[in-house]
Amino acid sequence: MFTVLDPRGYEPEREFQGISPRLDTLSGKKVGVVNLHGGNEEVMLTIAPSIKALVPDCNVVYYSAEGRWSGLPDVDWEFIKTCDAIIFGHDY
Amino acid sequence: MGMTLVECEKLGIPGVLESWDTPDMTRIAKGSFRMNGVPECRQVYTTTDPAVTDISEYAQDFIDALTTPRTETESASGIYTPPTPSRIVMTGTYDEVQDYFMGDLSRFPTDSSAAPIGWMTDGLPVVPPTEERVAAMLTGTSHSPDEMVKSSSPKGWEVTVEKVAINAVMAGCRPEYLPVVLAITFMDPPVNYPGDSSVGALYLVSGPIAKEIGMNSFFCALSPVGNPANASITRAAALVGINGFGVEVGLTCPNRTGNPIWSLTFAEATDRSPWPGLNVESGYGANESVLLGGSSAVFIVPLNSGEIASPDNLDEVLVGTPEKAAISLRSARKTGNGFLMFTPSTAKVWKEDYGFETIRELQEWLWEHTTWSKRDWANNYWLWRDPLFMEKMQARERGTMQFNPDHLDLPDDGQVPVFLDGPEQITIIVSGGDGQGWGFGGWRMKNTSIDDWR
Repeated sequence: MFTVLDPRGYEPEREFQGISPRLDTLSGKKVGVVNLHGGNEEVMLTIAPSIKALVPDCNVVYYSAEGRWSGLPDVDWEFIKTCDAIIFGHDY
Repeated sequence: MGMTLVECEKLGIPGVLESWDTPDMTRIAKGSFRMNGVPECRQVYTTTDPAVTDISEYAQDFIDALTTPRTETESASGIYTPPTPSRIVMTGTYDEVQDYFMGDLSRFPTDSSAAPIGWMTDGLPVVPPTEERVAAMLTGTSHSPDEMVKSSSPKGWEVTVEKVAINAVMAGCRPEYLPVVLAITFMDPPVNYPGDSSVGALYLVSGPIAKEIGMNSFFCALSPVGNPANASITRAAALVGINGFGVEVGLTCPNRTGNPIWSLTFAEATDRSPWPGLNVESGYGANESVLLGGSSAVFIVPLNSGEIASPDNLDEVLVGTPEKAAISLRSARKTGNGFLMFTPSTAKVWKEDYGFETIRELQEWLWEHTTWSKRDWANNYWLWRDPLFMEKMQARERGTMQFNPDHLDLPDDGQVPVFLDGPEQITIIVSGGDGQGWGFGGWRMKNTSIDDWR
């Protein structure tokens, strides 16, 4: 019989915070539909007009991020910060 | 995964992440949310079933995710304290231990695109890490078992000396190998999302310890197979990534095709090189042992140039002339740094016949001749996506490039160095058996002392 030790690392204590308050409605708001890593055009390009169809006075903007795997560059954040709400997709 | 959404939530922008509706993918995303400090980020799960073609039906789910008021749990802030894990995970027979570490492979449906992945192994049976074996392994270092070595992605876990020793036991290491495994863990463990490349992470051992522990730097130096040290250290690095830091192959690192080998550790033939070893080149002493390399997308193209014994007898295709080496290194732009690898015999040719008396001379010649035209720099769309390039060249707006001021006045066919930081970005490695051979590749090189972990 073997008594074996756990090879896994330790998860440290972490501070956490809640999600930000939701919007009352998407009417009159700008919603960014952001394709984060490429390859997800099929879903995100479908979702954007579908939301627009359900909320006609919502400004839905499809956006293909320039950043790839190491975080987003300033140009992407400049767009994101203009939005009232964000939908991210990333092909997995 | 999920980090960008967390940043948005912290900025006060409500968001939602679209994710595949597979249990593993949603679990990985939730773990990323927790690690980055906003555990209750919302997701909408879309199907991976190709039979479902109408994605628009998910639109209302996205609207709801952005407009349904937060629950009490979603609003809460505080300190997350994970459950304290048991030091001993199980007791059982050899086969039961193997089954435990492999995990329940039946949870992966055989008709799915998700192939079974071992839970706490690299897919092979492991040496059971008993208390006695781990204690014996820890004799390979003077460091305390409780000393924290590293905290790293993908799950932000912390790894102690003992945890590294446990994984080294599982991999089949001997105690004298442990300082190398600890140095790998400390410097840059194989946890990144390396992309599709020859090797996920490449580690080179330079200095006396390679000989002391019997690493192979002769024939088949790049092949971990057959040599106990090369093979088990290579495996231990992978296990530290999987168990120590939570790598889940195909999930935390969904590379499209992946890497023929996840990580590779090999040794420099310091004693047969005509030049000083990389330990010396890296600022250490000849008697110091150093680890070089790192965890990133590495490509290696080993070539056999058996036709040559001197530059007067050149094979047209595979000969590693300086000119061809410079052309080859042009492809290393994406990885940040490049390297040339010579057998000791070929290194001797380069020193005696090509006249590169020092590594510095060779680096400088290669740096001057490894260039792209200004036009090529501007036209390579993918450079846009390279954060290192972005940092160096500061892309200003789409379709334009801001060149180094020294290069702004060049004509379109003016030559710009591939390695922007200078000749030291080209590493010269000497390893391998007798006979002519060379290779080239790209990596992002770091270095750290192995002796510090003895």
